[in-house]
Amino acid sequence: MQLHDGERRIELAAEIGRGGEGFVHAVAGEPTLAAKIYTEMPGQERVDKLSWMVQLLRRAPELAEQCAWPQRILRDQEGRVRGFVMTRLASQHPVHELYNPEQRKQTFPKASWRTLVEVAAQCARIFAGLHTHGVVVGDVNERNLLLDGLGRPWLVDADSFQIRQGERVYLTGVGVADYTPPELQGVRFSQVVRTPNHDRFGLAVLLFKLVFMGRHPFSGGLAGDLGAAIAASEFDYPQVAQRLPHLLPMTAAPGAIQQSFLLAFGAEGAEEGRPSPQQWLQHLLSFAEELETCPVEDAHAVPKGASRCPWCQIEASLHYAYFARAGRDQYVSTWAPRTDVLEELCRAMATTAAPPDPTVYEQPLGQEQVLALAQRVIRHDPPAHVPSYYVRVLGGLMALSGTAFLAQDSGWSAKALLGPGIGVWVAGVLWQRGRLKPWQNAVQDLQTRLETVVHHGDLWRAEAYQHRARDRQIAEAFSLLTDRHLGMVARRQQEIDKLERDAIDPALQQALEQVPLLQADLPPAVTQDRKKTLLLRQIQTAADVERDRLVGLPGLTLPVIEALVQWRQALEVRFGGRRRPRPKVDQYVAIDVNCGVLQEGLEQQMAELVRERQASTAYAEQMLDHLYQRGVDNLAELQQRSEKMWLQLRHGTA
Amino acid sequence: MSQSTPFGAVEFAANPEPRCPCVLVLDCSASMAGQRLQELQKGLAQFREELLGDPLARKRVEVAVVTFGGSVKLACDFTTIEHFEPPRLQAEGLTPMGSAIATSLELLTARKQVYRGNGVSYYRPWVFMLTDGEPNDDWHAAIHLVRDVENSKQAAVFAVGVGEANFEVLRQIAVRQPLQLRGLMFREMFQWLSNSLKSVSHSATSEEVPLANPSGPEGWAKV
Repeated sequence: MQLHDGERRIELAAEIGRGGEGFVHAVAGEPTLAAKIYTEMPGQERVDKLSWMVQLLRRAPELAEQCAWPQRILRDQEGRVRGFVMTRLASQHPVHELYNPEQRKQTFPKASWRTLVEVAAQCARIFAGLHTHGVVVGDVNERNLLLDGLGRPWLVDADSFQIRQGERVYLTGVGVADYTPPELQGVRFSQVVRTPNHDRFGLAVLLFKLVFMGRHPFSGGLAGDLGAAIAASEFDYPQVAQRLPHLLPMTAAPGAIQQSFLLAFGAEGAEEGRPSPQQWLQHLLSFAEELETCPVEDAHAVPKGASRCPWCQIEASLHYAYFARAGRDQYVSTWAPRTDVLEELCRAMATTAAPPDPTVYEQPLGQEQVLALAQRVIRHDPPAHVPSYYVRVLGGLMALSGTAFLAQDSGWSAKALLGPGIGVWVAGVLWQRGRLKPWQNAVQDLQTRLETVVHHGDLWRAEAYQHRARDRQIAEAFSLLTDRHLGMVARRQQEIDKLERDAIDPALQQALEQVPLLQADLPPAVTQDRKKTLLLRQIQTAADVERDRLVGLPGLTLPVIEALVQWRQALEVRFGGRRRPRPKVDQYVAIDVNCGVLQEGLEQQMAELVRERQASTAYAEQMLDHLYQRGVDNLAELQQRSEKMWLQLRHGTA
Repeated sequence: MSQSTPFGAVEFAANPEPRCPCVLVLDCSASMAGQRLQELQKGLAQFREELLGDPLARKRVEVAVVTFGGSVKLACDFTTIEHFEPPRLQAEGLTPMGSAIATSLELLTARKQVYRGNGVSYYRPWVFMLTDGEPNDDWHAAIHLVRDVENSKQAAVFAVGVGEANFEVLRQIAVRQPLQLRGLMFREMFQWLSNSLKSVSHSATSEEVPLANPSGPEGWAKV
């Protein structure tokens, strides 16, 4: 579909919202524009209405201020009206995300009561502007009011406003009962002409929700039905707030605001006119002007001259804070325990194999047989040497016969035989020795090689034990680092606690320490027994009276704790002391940054350990391979030599 | 002083939006075991996701889960969608449908008391019952209970039958036409339920919201 807004072609970009009657798209190349496209082809009534709205805008450009007023009509190629372009809001939150306390603390953590009153004033201003031009919003509800990135309210769904063109009235046709005045309850919206006074009711409900913590002024009575309660004019918030101490009492707001709400929700307002947006604007602006910061808690805004801070009172009756406390609550921490990184590291460590076990070394195949053979060779007598044997025998015989001749006293022949005989024999022995020397050397060599083979496994084991010992150290160090990493959450909390403990003025702290509980004039709720409990728990001076330290002590019920805390607060005021401002966001950021740096350091050390184990294991495995190969080689050599020598033995030759 | 802190005060101080309570009454008898229960479980998870995506519905719709299989159990007490964790369903035992309905309606009465005590308005509660069998306890009392709450507009009771559910009984119990689930279209059913609750929670507490017809040709149910 090609679209044209009368001036140029409009290219639709991503869908940014959808409603009952159409879609809202971004406009390509126009970051400040949005286009609403109807799902069904608009009828003549709607086309006329849009044309008239665009004309009105030319006369009164202020209509598009904080309002998604149709600026130009979008037509397709055939000239049929398909939608319109309007201002696009950069980031938008429906107003209920501001007035709903819990959501506010998340989405608008810095919003105070003053913020709420100021937004209320701006809403009144928008309505005032529209009413001046005869425009009635009609379908007032919490989804048609959005807050932009600056927290300014905008009315959207402007094409459903009720617009007057001379005698002709373009009706709104719809409405939400929660925002519908009693006189219109149960009436069919499709035929009703709304008046500004009807709008004023819806506006007042919206303002009420902003000022009174998201509460609807009509609680719905027994049947829970807001429409019925409005029809019966049961504006019962003042009674409900009296019954429930944790609701903001009507009296917390200035008289003019209270009166205006009474008029807006009472029967009188229906007949004689409810407060106009202009009046609201004035009252709310001066209300916002009057709000100051509570002396005890920066997040609390208190009307000037109020005797007590309503928020402190509420927080004392219910452990719930309607506003994010300054500093800590307003600080949206980006710190995370990084458990994913930790898990990743632990997984890496667990999946990295430890260096091989010293006992895994296997001796090469057939080692036993080779060793047995070598041993047999070593233990075997050396091979015989036949020629030298004969020489020795000859020498022996000669010497023997020489000896015999000596007995027969045949002098020269004895001499001639005995001397040379011994000489020949000696020569025989020496010859044999000379011939056996290489053999003995070979046996010695064999012996050395045999021992090398036998002790080869020991070599490996010694090496492996070293790696295993280092690996145990690695594992221990790693688990220590893991614990420290896990402990970072607690450590960070300690730092934050310390930061917050230090938030009290030292002079005031000293003054409070000078007030011993024993002699102090404590609230009546603190009986002698309770006083004893406090003293026993080392709560001895006013400085020790801190909510966190009191909670959980035996016999100290919540009202007693509150009484004590208030007593201390009264003292603080009397001493003219003031708590130091709560820690600044920067201080929290510093803690988080610090924790982050520490964590990263731990992670680096852990990664280093993983790498070290990987290297150690790889080295040990390589070593194992290498040693095994050498073992195999040694054995082969031993085998070769033993077999050769064995053959020599078998053939009896040296 | 007459001031007191009612039950759930913090919850409603933190989020005072009107509540749209819905009790899911789920048959977890032995016959639901297997694929049926698995699909139902997936449907529940999707139901939560769907409603979580709607900024207003997540603060208004409150879910409680009552299961009946062997005995009647409160598997999950009322909680806004933001805090809703779908319970693990387990199939066992017979089908005490009658007392499951009675329990659910009591639960609603008590919850409405809490809303009123905290000055928070509410929409007409929904009871959404799902069964694949027939009651084996005394269910005749349930007929009157359901008729009473429907006539006085205190709650809307929907009955959905799966497989071989006894529609004769369902027709007697529910004032509204009971619906029969097509196959195991639990996800489609919960899609419809979350859409319906979304439109209800966007409306006013007093409005009747027209619901999409679940028994259309694309729907998850047949009549």
